[in-house]
Amino acid sequence: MPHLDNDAEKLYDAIFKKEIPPSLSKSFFEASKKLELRYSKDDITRYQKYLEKVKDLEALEYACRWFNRCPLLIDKFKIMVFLAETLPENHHTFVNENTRSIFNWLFMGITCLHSAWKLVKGFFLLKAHNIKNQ
Amino acid sequence: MIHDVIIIGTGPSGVSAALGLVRNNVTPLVLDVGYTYTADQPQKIEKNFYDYKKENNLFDLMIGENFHGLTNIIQKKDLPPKITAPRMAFVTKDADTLSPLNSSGFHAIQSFAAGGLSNAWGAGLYRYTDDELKDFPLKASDLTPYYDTLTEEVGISGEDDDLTRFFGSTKSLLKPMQLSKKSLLLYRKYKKKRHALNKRGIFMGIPRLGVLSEAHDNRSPCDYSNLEMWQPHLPYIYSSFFTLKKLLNKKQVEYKDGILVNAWSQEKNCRVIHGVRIADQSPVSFKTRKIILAAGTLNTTKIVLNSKKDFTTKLTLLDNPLVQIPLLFPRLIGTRIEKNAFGMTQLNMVFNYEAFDTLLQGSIIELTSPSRAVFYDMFPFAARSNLVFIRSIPPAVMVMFLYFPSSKKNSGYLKLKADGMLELECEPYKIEKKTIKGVLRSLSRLGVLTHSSLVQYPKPGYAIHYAGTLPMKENPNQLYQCSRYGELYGEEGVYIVDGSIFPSIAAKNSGFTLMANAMRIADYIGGGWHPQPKMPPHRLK
Repeated sequence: MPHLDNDAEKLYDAIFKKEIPPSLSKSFFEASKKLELRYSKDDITRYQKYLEKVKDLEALEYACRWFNRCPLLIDKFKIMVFLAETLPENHHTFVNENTRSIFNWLFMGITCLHSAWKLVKGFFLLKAHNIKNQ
Repeated sequence: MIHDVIIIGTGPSGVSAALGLVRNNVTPLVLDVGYTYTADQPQKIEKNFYDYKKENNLFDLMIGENFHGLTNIIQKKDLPPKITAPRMAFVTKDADTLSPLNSSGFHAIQSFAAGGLSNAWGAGLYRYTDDELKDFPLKASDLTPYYDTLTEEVGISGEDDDLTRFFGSTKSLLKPMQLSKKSLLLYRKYKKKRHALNKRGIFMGIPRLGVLSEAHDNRSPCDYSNLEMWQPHLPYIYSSFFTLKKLLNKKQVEYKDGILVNAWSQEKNCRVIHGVRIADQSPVSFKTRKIILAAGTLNTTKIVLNSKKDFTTKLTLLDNPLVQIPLLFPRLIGTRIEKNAFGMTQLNMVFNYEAFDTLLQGSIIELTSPSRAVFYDMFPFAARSNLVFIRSIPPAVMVMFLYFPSSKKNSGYLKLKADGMLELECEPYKIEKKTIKGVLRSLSRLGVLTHSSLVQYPKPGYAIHYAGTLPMKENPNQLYQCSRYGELYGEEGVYIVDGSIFPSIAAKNSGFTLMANAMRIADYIGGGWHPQPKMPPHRLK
């Protein structure tokens, strides 16, 4: 399964926009192996193809979630989020320890726009790569 | 050797039955598979979950080397977060192999741990009222002495409030648990509008929890460290494992673990229990005069059907229909997480509308203890946006688990197949939309935001309050019915004390009633206190 060597790096970058810590890469590799037992070879091959061809994986995963495509990619994103939460360096990404209501409302507003843009982009990525509901 | 009484199972009902026998000077033999938590893992947490999380890699605590924390994703399951915590893995260990299930329409969880599912329960302990016992051959007063004894044994927090008339006597309760910030807001709002709400049949109060708000029975009180989801055997959350250990220390029970019981058979002057040793799968048997089955509704029923070699009968299976309603406190969006809180049930509500034909009960749960990642796919945004929402929204959210009483229209069935697999089936519960809308309207009066589109309808069985397969009757007259003393029809000396014998279940956690009833039956078997003037002749000498 050669794709498992680099998908952790790509997915982590798509979600957290930073380099993946080696320990996380290793545990993601192991978890992915377990997850892929539930998927067919075709599913895995398709996932591998998307991973190679698509640069904006965040947009692709969002569109997949929205339009119910490529569940393997969706599951891998979830696994990465669960694993990433265990790291102390990601503590503040998941846990808000300061009350900054106005800042948070503003940030949530901006992030909604970000999501809208990613959805449009993801929709075209689905079309461009002919990703259908299998 | 022929034992006087053998109890099968160490969950709340089995251990309560043991207590009932012990106080009559009967020493039972207790059998169970009895998996336990082995506390030899490197990270022992002595401080608040969030302070600890900030400084330490929590892979072992939150995911585990076997990736147990990812079970719901990897195995496409829908287990409650507490069951997927790695240190809680012993609670459901080997359940799929020891008692395989075919249950596509029913969400079934089984435990073969010492203490059973009480190792991971919500510890809500509520008394049944006479109304709720209307299908039972019992009155609430029959259970009262056992409720009282168990309240002292367990240590139950709570207080006298608007829910006392639904939850029963407040005798011997410990002071209530400290409420979280959101719960305080909600409770204050309720108290302001109490009169109007009560007139509409809406009541709110403090839950009755088997959680210590103060030291009790050599166990320390809750330290509000948010570790409830992660650490088994926290001294302040009662598990029947604690009572089992106490009885063993005092040598008041004999205990053999590593035994899976499959069936019993009749011999001339006794019954023989047949099982296997888990370690080497070798057969094992025990002779006894009386059997108390307390292996949990699913497994107890399996043992009964297997003993009778009945692979055709379909028995009614009940559970509380449940819906989950998120409650949003808009003013708290973006505020900091409440680090020092108790991450389980904070408040209860009872909806006693005239328009409903039944009484509903809601448990309002604090979400400070689960991992934040469980919220990831609950928001409909892109990955990085969801991370922003994970940080900002959960501090402003609680969830109400709204329980409905069991009913015939919302029941399933259980059958044992010849290959040893249990077949469970249930149609999706029929819950009227107008009922949910009524509840949502009541909640909006309390200043929380919610909407019918956010309400979750879990699969049947999700409440994990299984019951009803071998119901108690005043005059049992057919197979698979039990007497008011739990004795199985046509099987003298075989007693059922777990949820199987509940003919119906009220809209609340039945655990406490299950325990009290088990103790009552054991007390009868042991020949002790009994409220009925006339007793059948076959009591233990």
